[in-house]
Amino acid sequence: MKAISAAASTWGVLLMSGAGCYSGIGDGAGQGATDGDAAGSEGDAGDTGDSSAPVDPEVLERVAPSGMRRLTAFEYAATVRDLLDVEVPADLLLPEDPRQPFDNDYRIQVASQALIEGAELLAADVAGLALGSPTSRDMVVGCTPTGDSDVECFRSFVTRFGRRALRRPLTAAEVDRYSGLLAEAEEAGDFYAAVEVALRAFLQHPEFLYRIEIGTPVTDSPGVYRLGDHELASRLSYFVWGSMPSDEILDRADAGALRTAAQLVDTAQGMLDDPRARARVGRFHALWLGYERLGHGPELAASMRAETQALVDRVVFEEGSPWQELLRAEQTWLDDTLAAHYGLPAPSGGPGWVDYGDSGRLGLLGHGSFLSAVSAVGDTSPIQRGLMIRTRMMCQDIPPPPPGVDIDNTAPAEGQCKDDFYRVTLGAPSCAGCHDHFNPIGLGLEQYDNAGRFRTQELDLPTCEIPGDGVVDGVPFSGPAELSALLLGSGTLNACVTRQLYRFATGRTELGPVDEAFVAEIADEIGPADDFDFAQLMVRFVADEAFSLRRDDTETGEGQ
Amino acid sequence: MDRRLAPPRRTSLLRPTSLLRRTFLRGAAGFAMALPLLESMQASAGVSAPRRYFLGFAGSSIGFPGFEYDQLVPDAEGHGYDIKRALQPLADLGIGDAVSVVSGMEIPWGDAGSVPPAGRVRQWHAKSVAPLVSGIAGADNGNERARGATSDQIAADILGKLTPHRLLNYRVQAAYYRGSNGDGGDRGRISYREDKGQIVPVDPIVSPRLAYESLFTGFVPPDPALASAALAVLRRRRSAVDLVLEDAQALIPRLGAADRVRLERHFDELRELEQRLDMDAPPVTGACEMLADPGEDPAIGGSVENGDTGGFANGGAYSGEELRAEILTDLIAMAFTCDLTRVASLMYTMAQCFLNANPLFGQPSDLHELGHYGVGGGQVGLDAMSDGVGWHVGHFGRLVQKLRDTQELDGSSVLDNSALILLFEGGWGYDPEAGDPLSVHSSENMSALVAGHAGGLNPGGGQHVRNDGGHPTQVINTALRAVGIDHEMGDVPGVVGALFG
Repeated sequence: MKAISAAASTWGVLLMSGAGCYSGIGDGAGQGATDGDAAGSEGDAGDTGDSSAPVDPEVLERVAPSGMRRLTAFEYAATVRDLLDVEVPADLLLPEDPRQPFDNDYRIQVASQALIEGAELLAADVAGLALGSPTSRDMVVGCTPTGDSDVECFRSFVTRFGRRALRRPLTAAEVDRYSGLLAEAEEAGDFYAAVEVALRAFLQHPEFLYRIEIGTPVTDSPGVYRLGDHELASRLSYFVWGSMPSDEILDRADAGALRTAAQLVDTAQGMLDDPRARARVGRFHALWLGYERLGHGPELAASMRAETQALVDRVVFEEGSPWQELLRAEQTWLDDTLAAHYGLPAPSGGPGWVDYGDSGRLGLLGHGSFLSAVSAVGDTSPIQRGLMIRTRMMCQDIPPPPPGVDIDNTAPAEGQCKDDFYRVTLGAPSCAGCHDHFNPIGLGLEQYDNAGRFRTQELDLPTCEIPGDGVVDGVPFSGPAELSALLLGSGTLNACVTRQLYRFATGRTELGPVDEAFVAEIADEIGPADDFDFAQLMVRFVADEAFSLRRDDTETGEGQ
Repeated sequence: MDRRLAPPRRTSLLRPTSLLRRTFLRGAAGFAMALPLLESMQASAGVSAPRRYFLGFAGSSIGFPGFEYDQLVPDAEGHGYDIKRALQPLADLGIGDAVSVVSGMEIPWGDAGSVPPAGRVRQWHAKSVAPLVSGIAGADNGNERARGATSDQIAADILGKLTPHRLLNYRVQAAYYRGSNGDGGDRGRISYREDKGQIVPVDPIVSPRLAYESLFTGFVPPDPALASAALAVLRRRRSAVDLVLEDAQALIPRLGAADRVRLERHFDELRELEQRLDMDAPPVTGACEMLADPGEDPAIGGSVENGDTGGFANGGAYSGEELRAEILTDLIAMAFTCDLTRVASLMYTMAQCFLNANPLFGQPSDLHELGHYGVGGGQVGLDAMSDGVGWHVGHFGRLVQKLRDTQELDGSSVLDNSALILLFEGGWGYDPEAGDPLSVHSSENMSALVAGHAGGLNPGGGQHVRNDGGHPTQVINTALRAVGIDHEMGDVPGVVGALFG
């Protein structure tokens, strides 16, 4: 495996050694987050009409719009796991989160009866599980009541749990109001009945179900706000972990210790050591490259997922290798099932790293997960694979098919070889204008079937040889290894990864000029050809002053 | 494991509990609750049974490539029509004479920029759904979202004012089952609501467990110990929702304009939940009863991508939809019976349905592929496709049967006071996308089923009515008129008059 390039190291070291070297990063207390979060009902900036210090015009140009974001079903499950140590199948009860390709586009989230009642039932389920045993009950409440109406214990529970559930300290008035629920304990003759009601309420609270950012107006910048400490803590934790802030991060927010770039970088670096970061980065890649759900049996699908997650873990977290190693790793993590599936040597003594050798595979593009990601019914789809590479990995827009094109019946005639169909039939002048952009890419992967197995003949038509020759922008290639090399040398990959991560971070699929400015700021810094460290790319997002700011999103969205 | 609903228990499981609950709630919240159901009961005392509207949707066409007919539409017109393969479930249920078939309809098409009113764009998949459910032309840019309010929402605005639920909006198919990261999106919705000048998509409830819990909110068992526990749960739910409503209300004015709109929508839905929690259980009269708890939801199945017959044989692309359909049907029937709602929409399958047919009727393919030689061509293919159509017909028929067999307080049946329709995504005929004269990718030769007798509908029982060249959304207009709503959907005028005799 290649060593980290000097360029990547330099970039990482630069970032690590002094965040202040980046232009526009606020490093003084006056420029950081505000001490009062906009959420909450008293003592916050939104009510007082305070404004925060002006922001460098260059930074302002890349401040992203943000709107309230509902926790996805995945984030909900992760959040209650961290909050209460309970597992719930949130995806059974919450409305589906469309993948396009990420599952968190807030502009298409619409509240519905299905959401409200699903959240209410989930709250009941979670409360039931959390209070289901004396041990977990004690952990949730954090004190032992001296009687059914132990006000002190209940207030302490409300204060502590409310801060974790709403991801900010409760105001005194809120603590009073929630403490009023102790009436239920008296009614029921059971202290924990009141705890149950409080849990139900917190878990249905809009500030639990949504991440609501308000912030403090930035002087002379209408529509731009600086996030409050706790708003920023949540933005940070859902970005890096896909879940709620830990107590430690909330403590830092309480202490105003998330205000400078150095503080934010330090916090983010610490978060990257947590297993939640690994899962988060793995999920980003799975959504981005389309293999989050695999259409295989459970055993094969689990083996494929393990293979790809192992590579992500190794490259990004264990070896600190450049992200590019994902595409040029010469080894892969196999168990017996997957080794037999690929026809590669099985690892000795259980799952482990195996050399690809001269198999033509390399890195993630040689994984069954990636090669299964898009397909036609019963076989690969060179069109879909080519489109995936173009749109997801090269970030190029491909216009939709023109009127009159039957996209559902794009298949070879009876007895026609696929290669002939895609190369000749769709190479006709009337088709080639578009199809030449993506078909030849897919054809270059054709020797790998829709479950990632190598082949040289079509399954249904053994007389049809599969040459597996592809072309990207005039450069020939064959197979995942050569495609990886082409992409790595394309000069567009780094900016594209940055753009995709930005979409995932901001929860918006459609990007505008300020978004592109943020992406360009960082992509320019990485450079088009240098290696970079993915974990440090995430840190770089956080370190940018624009990460601590928001622009009021004027789109109600809702997919209109 | 047999997880079907237990047989209906004829002994009363519920009783009104208004005094106790209202007393407590007034004390707890400090103000008196609105009790719309009570008003409803008073208003309806001595008045005839309410009218109910049901919209069912099947994400399937009804023919097979190369065939100039399907096996849904009878040869004979009028009453006593012949039963073909896809209608056989009606005969098996003993309701062959209770359901009308309306045939020969079509949704017009056009290219981008010239899609006709109430039409669809030339491309096929899922593009017929928007004009079908709204009566307004679909988008021509690939967007599959309806651009007008749908009939379930329109009916709910009128019929749903006095019931605990203005509408039940359910979907049977639990996931899209297509694409590694596939999801249904707009292909999984048939309900759209006009709200503050916008057409807003409304997500259906998919979880049978959630549907059950939601529907029977307020039902309290007669056993004193159980009743006490149930009342305590209600009280806690109410207290929690009250607090959250207060907090949400305080938060709204502090948000930016777009977030305000979104949180207001959340708030409105939450307030509706609060109102449902305030309502009394319906009176235990006649056939109204609390159904047995359906238990945990079946797990969501994975997708089967690869034409992999083994994957279909092993139960992929399936989440217990047979059971889900049974439960949701039972819930709708009981909701109509108990007057918990008067309007329901049920999306049996998503547009371009990729649900595994194997657990349903033993064909190792998804329903969509059945229409594309998934298990063969010729009569074999047509039969398999017809069985897919028939699966939807069977569940629709089961609802019709239950309503026919349920007596209202005035002695009529619930079916006598209902209008139920089942629409299909497509028909068969010309496919302008492929230039194929006999394709299942066609909005020609579309048919629908119509049951119920509200407003004089189907006076002589089920019949086969041709509505040649008519728009299938006229069937919706017809059912709306039957339940007393004189509304024509979008750009589709007229009703199928023959259904009124």
